[in-house]
Order: sequence, then C-alpha cells, then structure tokens
Amino acid sequence: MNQFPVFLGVLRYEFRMQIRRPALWITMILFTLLIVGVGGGVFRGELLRNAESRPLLTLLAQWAYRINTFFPIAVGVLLADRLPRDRRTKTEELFAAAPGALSTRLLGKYFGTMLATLIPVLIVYIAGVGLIAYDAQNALVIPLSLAPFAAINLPGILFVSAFSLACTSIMWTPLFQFLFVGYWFWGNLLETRFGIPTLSGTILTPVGGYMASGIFGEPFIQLGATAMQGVESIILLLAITALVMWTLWGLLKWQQARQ
Amino acid sequence: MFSDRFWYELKLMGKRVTLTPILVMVGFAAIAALLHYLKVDPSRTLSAALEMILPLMTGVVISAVTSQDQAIELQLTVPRKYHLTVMRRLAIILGWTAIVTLLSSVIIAILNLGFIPRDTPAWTNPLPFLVGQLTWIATLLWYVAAGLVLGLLTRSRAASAALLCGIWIVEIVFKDLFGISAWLKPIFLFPTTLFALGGPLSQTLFNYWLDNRLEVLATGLLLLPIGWLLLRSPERLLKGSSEE
Repeated sequence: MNQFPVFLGVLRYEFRMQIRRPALWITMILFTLLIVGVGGGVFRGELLRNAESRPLLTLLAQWAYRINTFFPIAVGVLLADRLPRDRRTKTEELFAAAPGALSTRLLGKYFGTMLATLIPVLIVYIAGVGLIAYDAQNALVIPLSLAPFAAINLPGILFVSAFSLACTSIMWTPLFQFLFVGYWFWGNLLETRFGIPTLSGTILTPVGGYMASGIFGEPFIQLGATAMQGVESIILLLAITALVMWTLWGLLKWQQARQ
Repeated sequence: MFSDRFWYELKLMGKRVTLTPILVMVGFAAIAALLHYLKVDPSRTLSAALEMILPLMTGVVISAVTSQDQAIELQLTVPRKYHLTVMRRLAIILGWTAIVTLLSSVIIAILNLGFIPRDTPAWTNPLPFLVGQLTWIATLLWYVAAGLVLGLLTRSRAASAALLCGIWIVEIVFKDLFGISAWLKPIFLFPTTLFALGGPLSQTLFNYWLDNRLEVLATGLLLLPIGWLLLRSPERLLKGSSEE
C-alpha cells in the first residue's frame, strides 16, 4: 500500500485536532501575556538598543532567540499527551488494525501536531517582526525574518517535539512535563560559570544560541560561535531528532508485538 | 472511615504520586554527590531542589489530578461533595510532599549543606532552621494553589502544566525584574536560590527575604479560596471534561 496518502491523511487529521484544541490557544495566549506582561519592556529595550546601527538580521535573530527561550516549553508540554491520549481513548488498537504502517502514522502524528503547535509561535514571532519592521521603516524585514525562524526556532522545536512524543511513551506525562522544563533550564539557560556540568554552552542546545550567534552574528549571546558551529548545531539537533523518532518507532513496534 | 478514604484516595492516585518526590530527591542527592566529587559546593543546587523543583512537580501533579476526573459524573451524584474529595486529594499530595521536603531539609542540615538565610545579628530570629523552612513552604503552597486554580480554569492537564512551567521559567529568566519590582515581589517564588541568599545576610536583606516569603504565602493562600469556589460549580466541572 502506498503510504504517502496515509501520511498526508494522518498529518491533516492530527493538525486539525491540535489546532482546534482549546488548550493550545488558552496556553499560548496566557503564555504570551505572561512573557510580554513581565518581560515586554526588556524585549523592547533589547531590540531597540542601537537598532539603527545593527544589521536587521541580528535584530531578527535576537527576537527569534528570545521566542525560543520560552515557547519550546509550551510546545513540549502540549505535545506530551498526544501518544498517551491514544492509549487513554482506547484508539491505539483500532489504529493498529488499520492498513497504514506504524511508522507512517507516527510521522503523520509528529508533523501534524508539531506544525499545529507551531502556528501560535509563528504568530507571536510575526507580531515581533512587525514591530521591528515598523521601527526600522523597512519592509525587507518581513522576507528576511524567515531565515532566523528556520535556523533558530525550527530545529529546536523539531527536537523538543520528538522527545515529547518519545518520552511519554515510557514515562508518566506530568513527570515528563516537569523534568522537561527542568532540562530546558539546565541544558540551555544555566550559565557554565557555576561549575555544574551542563549541556548549556555546547552545540547541543535547542534554544539556538549557536545559530543566533554564529550564523546571524547576534552580539548579546556571548558564545563567540562561528557560522560553521551554528550549522553543526542544526545538523546535530536534526540528527538526534531523527534518531529519537526512529527509536520511538522501534519501541512502539516492540510494544505492539508484545500485546 | 477517615483512614479508609485516605488509603483509597492514595491507591487511586497510584504509586507514581507518592514515589515522584522521593525519586526527585534521590536524583538530587546523586547530583550533589557528583558536585562534591567535582569540588563544587552542592548546597545551592540542593536548595533549588527544595525551593524550585519539588514545588513545580507538586503543582503539575495537582493540576493533573484536579483538572480532570474520569468519574466526574458519578462523583457529582454521590452524597459526599466533590470539592471535599478534591481537597482531600490536594491535602494528601501537599502533605506527602511537605514530609519528603522537610525530611530532606533535615538531612541536608545534618550534612551541613543547608542554604538557609540567616540574619546578622541573629537576635531577631532565634529559630533560624524553622524560619528557613519558609524557603520551600511558601513556594510549595503557592504552586499547589496555582496548580489547583489553573487546572480548574483551563480544564486541561496540558494547558495548566504548560502555564505552571511557563511561570517557572519566566521567574528564572526575569529574576532581576522580579527582585526589584514592587508588583512582582509578592509572586517572586525562588529568591533564596536565584539570588543566593543562603547563609548570613544583612538585616535589610533578611527582612526583604522574610517579607517576600510571607507575601508569597499570602498570595498562595488567596488563590486557594478561588480554587474552592471553582470546585463548587458542577456545570464548570462537567463542561470541558471530555475536550482533551
């Protein structure tokens, strides 16, 4: 059986299911209000500091990095219940009896839920891009903004989404949710000067510091990264994402065989 | 009767609710041992476990337990009021986490790894260990109340957990803003760990810390009646119970 139409069908269905989910919009709206309410002034100050003398791409990269500091947490937590939901609603067996392959359904679920959850993040990003374009009085900002989003936000969100689906297939969802936010701080935001062993400061950071600093020359993230390291970081994140999805497929297949 | 219901609720929530705080502390004990081996002082990390990690964990678990109940229709028909059942569950989770945290705090103090704010001179605070427990008590109570309210308002485990996690990370990233803004101070949840307030402090700084702890405790206590009121609305409880 040709699996591509199955993949598209699953993707479309999962996308619709997630985009119509009240929890997605409630979370993203309150999340945005919380971040802007507390840190809106800080963001504005950062983006407007020497804005005239800075290349537009560095401003956009800074905004993309700021978005990536917070929103992957919401994405990760919101995707964490997608696989356990199939079990809870007792549809898992029904799916297993359907002609679509497990790998196709898994990929469809992954991309469908991830893309739907990405929409509110993209809206917030575009709102900030609009402000930058207005301040700079330059419409070129809008096409330029695609590059930082693709290089900084997308790899991180792909990475986080894969772990959210994979970890909750073996772990209690609330446990994953709080461990995940703990990881996000420890592995991305914790400064290395404290002497605590951390992934923070390495290229394995989905927050995207290496991309923002190395590829776009964002000056406030003091990593001193090169463009090559930025690219390496993207490749590493995407490779681990693929590995995690492949492991999840193997695990689900094994679980299915044991039933 | 009381003990029967207590054990029944405990069984219903499952071992994962009781084991999670213990596993968290065992994990942090291992991290502390690693830091000691690396010649890094583990006291602030252990303080983070008590002040930042266990309250977040409890808030997420509370929101998961209170936001949805598979037998909600049945619960609303039995003579025992549903809000009392939820409050019992909440008390069990809060009580258990508090016991685990207090025991961990005692062990940490015995090992001389405490990260407790102390005033100098110490005459205004004759019980530094007990007052120091406000480090986690205030935050734990705040997160429990916030978990209850957010769980009931959103009627979604994912949304309430995401918001609790969002508050957590926003407090860390904007800690300086929380530290200096008068309107954010009553909800500044982790000053001890984030501002490294363990050990002897000047009287001004100690008073700042103590005021903050009491304000966080008060805002947490203010959230509890809101949760209580939300629990007393059967329509709200039924609506959205199957939307996930």
